[in-house]
Amino acid sequence: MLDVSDLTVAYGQAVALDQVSLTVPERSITAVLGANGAGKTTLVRTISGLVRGRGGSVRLDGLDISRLAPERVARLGIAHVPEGHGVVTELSVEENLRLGSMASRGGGVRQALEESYELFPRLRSRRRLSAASLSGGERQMLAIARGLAAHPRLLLLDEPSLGLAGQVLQQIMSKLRSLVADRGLTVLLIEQNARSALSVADDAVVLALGQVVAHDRAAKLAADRDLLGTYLGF
Amino acid sequence: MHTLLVLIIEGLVQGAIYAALALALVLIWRATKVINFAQGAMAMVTTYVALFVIQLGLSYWAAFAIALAFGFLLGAVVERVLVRPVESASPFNVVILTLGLYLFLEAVVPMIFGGSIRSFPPAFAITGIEVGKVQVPLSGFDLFTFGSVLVVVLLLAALFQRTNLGLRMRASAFSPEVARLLGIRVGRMLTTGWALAAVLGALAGILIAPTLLLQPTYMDEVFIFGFTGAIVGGLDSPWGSVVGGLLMGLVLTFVGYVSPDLETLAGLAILTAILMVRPQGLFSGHRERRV
Ligand SMILES: Nc1ncnc2c1ncn2[C@@H]1O[C@H](COP(=O)(O)OP(=O)(O)O)[C@@H](O)[C@H]1O
Ligand SMILES: [Mg+2]
Repeated sequence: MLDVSDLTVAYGQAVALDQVSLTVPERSITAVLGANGAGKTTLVRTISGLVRGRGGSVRLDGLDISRLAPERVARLGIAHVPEGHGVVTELSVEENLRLGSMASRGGGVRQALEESYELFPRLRSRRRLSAASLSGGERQMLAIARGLAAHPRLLLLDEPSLGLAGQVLQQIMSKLRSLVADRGLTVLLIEQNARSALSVADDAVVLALGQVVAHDRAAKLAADRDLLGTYLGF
Repeated sequence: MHTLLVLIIEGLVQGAIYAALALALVLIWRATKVINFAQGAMAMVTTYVALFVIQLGLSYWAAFAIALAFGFLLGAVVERVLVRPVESASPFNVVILTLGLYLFLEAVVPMIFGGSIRSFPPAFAITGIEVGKVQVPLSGFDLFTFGSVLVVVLLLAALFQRTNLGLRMRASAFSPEVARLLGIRVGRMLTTGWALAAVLGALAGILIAPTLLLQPTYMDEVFIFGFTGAIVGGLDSPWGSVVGGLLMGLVLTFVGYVSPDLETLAGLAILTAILMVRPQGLFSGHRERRV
């Protein structure tokens, strides 16, 4: 579904991604792992159009999206939940969710809100509150719910585990799995926390210093002790 | 007692005009994070357009509608054509640009419309309404001035609070990057913000013109007072700016009653005092601000 090939991204002279190639198959969860500074965030920001690549391409079902503005990419059905959640703190919880549902290509606002509250009942009771009053974990839930409210085809999650309790994270991951099965969702899951990501993902990519050092089935990488030890600090 | 009532009414009516201008500045501040120093001059242009329409023989109401519509267009064009290209570099560039636009408009308007002082008709009589046998110190035009600002402010509040467009505009102002990730065309939202701000300015310009008389610089003072109202309100708070504008109207009317010569000076004194003592304004939650 998503094909990244030979993608090179640099901030000034500093190369953050060096000829990165990877594929994300439809109806699957692909994890992108790597230490801090490996280039994971740069990868998703380039896919969603916030950062321009210097070379290479990003294709969604064959369509080159690497020159599109982020709002165009979003309208093609790619939802990006940014690192550090990116909820709009000046707006209420429900307004954040409404914004997500506006990007949806199908289904009404009401339905999207209902789905969000079903997924995270805590958000229902806080729906009129300012998003600024939420805890870090609740903000992360809100950001993920907002991403899903767009009914995206491809969901880009940048470190969702940040600030979330293990139990809530488990719950979100199993929800993602069921959306993949039932709704044909495809997920690119960025994680520093390799253990939880590898347990939920179908495939995994390991980035180190802007380069792909491994790209295989998640189960296979999870068993590769050398690799985990070298790049992921196990 | 009677004098006090007269002053309060006059202050609130003047204040409504400052509130409209203050709110215009706040809308632009929230969208682009700059002060639009050309806000008053743009309102001056739309009022000249209104006068032109009246002189063509059309009614006041046609001129009123055209001025507001022209304001919408002017605001949109200024954002799209002038502000957008320089915006990415630094907010200072936009500030300099609006100052340049202010000078340009005040220079070019006399070339087109002539520089002499012109009178501008009010929508209604400016003499006090009679209730029974008593003449109250409130004219039909006062009511229209206060009422039309109130209506426009309430309409804007409804737009921002109750509609999807308003929600998109707020999201774009607060968090442009997140808004773009949600598929919102942030550029369009900013253009709309500038356009709506210029409509408010046009409203202020046409409402104050009968009192001040029309000339290329006639909005300069109104701009300062509206700006001060916006600063009093905290610059990022729409309701704060409305309250700030009304306060300015009241204070300046009282000062003007004591000595008309002191009015402008008092406006500047309040602006300076607020900037020195409480730069975040009286109603803002934020403590810091750029430019
Ligand atoms: N906006 C930026 N400007 C300059 N360098 C950046 C910027 N964002 C990231 N980098 C650099 O690019 C590299 C990759 O960063 P990032 O993509 O955030 O990695 P990760 O998400 O894996 O921690 C790092 O060396 C980082 O310092
Ligand atoms: Mg990162």
